[in-house]
Amino acid sequence: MREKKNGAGFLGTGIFLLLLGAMVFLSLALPENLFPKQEQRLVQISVLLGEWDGALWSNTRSGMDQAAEDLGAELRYISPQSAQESEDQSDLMLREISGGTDAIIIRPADPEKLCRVLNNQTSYPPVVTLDSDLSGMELACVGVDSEEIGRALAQEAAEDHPRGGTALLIRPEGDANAAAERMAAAEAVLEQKGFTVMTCRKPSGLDAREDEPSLVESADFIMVFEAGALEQTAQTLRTWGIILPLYGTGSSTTIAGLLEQGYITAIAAWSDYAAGYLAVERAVGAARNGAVDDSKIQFQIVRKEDMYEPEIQKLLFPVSG
Amino acid sequence: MSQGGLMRRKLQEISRRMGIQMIISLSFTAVAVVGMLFIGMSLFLRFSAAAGELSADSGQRVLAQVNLNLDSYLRRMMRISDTVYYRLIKNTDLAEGSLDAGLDLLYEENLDSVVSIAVFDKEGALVSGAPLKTLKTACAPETQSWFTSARERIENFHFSVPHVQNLFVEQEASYHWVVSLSRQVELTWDGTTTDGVLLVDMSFDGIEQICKDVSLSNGGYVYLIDSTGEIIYHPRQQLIYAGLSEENNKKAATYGDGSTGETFQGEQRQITVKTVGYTGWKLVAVSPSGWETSGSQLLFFGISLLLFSAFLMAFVNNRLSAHISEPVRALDRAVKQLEAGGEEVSFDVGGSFEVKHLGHSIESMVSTMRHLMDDIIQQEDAKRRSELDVLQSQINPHFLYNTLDSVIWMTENGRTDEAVVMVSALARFFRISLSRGSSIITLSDELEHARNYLTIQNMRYKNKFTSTIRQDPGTESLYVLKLIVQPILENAIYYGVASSDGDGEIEIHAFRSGDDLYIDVRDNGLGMPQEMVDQLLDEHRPAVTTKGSGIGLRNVHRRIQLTFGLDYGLEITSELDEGTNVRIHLPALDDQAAAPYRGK
Repeated sequence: MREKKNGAGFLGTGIFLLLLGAMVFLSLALPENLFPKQEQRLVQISVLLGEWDGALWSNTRSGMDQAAEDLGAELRYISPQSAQESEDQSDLMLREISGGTDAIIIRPADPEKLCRVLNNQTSYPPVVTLDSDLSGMELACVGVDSEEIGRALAQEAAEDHPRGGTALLIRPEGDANAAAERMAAAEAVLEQKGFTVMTCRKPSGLDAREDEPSLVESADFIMVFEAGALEQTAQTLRTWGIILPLYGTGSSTTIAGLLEQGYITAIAAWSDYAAGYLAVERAVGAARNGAVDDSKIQFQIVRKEDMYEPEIQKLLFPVSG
Repeated sequence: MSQGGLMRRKLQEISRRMGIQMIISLSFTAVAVVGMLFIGMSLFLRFSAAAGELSADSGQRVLAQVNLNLDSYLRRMMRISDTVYYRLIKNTDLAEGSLDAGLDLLYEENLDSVVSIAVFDKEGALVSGAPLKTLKTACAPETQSWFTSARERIENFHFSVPHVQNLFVEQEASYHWVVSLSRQVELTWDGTTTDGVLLVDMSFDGIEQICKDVSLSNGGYVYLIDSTGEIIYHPRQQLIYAGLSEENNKKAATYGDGSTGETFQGEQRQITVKTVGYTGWKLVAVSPSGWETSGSQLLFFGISLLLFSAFLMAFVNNRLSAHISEPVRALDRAVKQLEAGGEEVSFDVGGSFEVKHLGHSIESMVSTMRHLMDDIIQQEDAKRRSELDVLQSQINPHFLYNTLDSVIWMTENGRTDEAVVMVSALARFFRISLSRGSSIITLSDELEHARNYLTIQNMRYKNKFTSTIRQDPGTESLYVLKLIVQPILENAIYYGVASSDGDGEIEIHAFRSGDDLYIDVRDNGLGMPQEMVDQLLDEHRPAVTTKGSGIGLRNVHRRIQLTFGLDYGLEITSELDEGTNVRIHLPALDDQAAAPYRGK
């Protein structure tokens, strides 16, 4: 009996030692890439920014590319081809969802419509929106505070002009997106300050090919709430040879040039690079952990005279990209 | 008692209860594990230090290479600056000639790394520039840092931190990140020299290209700062500018050349610094500290190895201690068997030489003890037999002398018939006394022996007493020690009836009670006080041979106890003037039960 018990103990100890030896062997022999870290899984992200030309989004894309490299993501940039951006955007998003993308970054042209489209889906990957948030949906939104930026820009314009002046606000496409919110906030401030506010629906800004200079004759200053529209409006004014104070949101090299040349009076600028980086960071986080988290970006009012300040240089002119 | 004392006591108690195998196994394992931990820690620290040195060495070598490339790049820029100054500016009177062609040529030659070359007068007005020659209206060169630095320290080259060039009007909006190399120069106007500033704007991309592809092991990187800690190049520069990342650059500016460790944002890092000549810039190499980079695999390996070694040691120690202790335990078991009375106990337990030797010694000792015990038993037996023989022999001479004396007396007085009766009785008396050497005889023979003795004594004492012998039925074939009644009768005659005045009576009664046999010898003599009764059988009383000492009773008592044990023997009851009763207490032995006592 005793010998039998000893034999069983001996066998058990031998098996245990073999297991430990195997662990040692495994820890020596197996390369680390056999134990991939969770965050090293490549995340496929579809990016739907808008129909604007690439230069306008180059800083955002630089930030996105950097984040993709840092966090292990693969980005697919998709742009709507038609003028009907919101229709096209929804179709593209549905196509990407059915294609099995891990996450979507989108700058909604029509947030309400996007909400409806997403609500009709039984399931969809994490969606991160740029600039505009989708009300009622738990999606991460990366961007500046639209109302605050509208108010700040209107305040800046109001300080430059005497009370009772007339402001022309270029109305963007849609009534529920970030640009519309900025405009609504600016409009409220200007009216409160005693300005006459005129609005004109020109989603792409004033266009010298379509519009007449008489459109702006009665305005003391103009405000535009989208970077693309701001670029086009400033270039139109230059084409017309009209020097009219122009205020707008967003930045690009072209906008900086127009600001320096005096065709734009002031802009509310923020780091598109940071917005792009944070959008990808949130999308990767949501795809891996399912967590959604908004991120607000700080903005700054920039005028021609301070655009070469070191901090403004860093904001307007990214080092890389 | 303190906690420590209690703990110590408990440990001592546990160690007392532990077997030799457990003590050896635990001690060896504990020592081995402590040794392994010590060696492991030593190796870990040594390896860690070596990894740190290796990392620092690697960082220094990489920095040396980067520094070489950067130095070469900066020298090239300085050579351009020198060429402009010493070949163009020094040789040109601006009142008569222009610098434009020379600057354009130099610019074209260094297009890849130079954004612009420009010469300004001391007021900041553009004298000449390449490739662009029109200043922005609001640029005010005289207020820019590269200009003021050159004007303040005229003997040096000045390198700025990266900035967006704000000088020339371009057709398309274009903004270049540049590093400005500026110096004070002397311009010649119509034979008169005046101060000016020469500016070579280096493309930031050139510096970026030098530092960008440098990578260190374990995710390390290199960045470049100026003497105040302002970042010139960093692989995550835009992230830092956007506030999404941080670097310990201000602290790094305080480090001297060489390697040091630092903790930044909770991460241990190895920092290697090298100062770039002419500029005061510092190249900083950052590597994550040694062990963190090895990650979970190293931890897994370390724990596995430690556990494996510890269990292997425990297993080996257990086997080794079992090998050592098993023969000792076998020896212990053998001794316990011996203590329990085992006869065939083997002490051949194997094991080491010492244990084998111990086993043989114990076996030899046991054998010696057994022989000694046998000898002692034999000696005791012989001694008892000798003693019995002595006791028995004390009876005969005394009685024989008296009887023969009586026969002589009777014969001399013509009482031959009586002499014949006495001699006949004496003959029967001795026949039973001899009994072929057996010490056990039947009760009937013993009583017959008593009867013959009484016959002889009655004749000697002239019928001064009468005697009766009663034997209960069923006791005839029981066996008793021989010659146990006669000494009692002798006492009864000498001290009882012979001294009394009246007719003496001696009565013998043998009866059985259960497994015991009793023989009562009662006389109606003078009796004895209780003190004397108590002394009669006292072993410690001096043995005297004088008449009346009662030595015969004590002999019988000792013989019975020597033969049958202390439960048996004589019991004496006596009352003065009433008589004495001596009861002989024996086991009731039948023929079979008496067999072991025969012949002794």
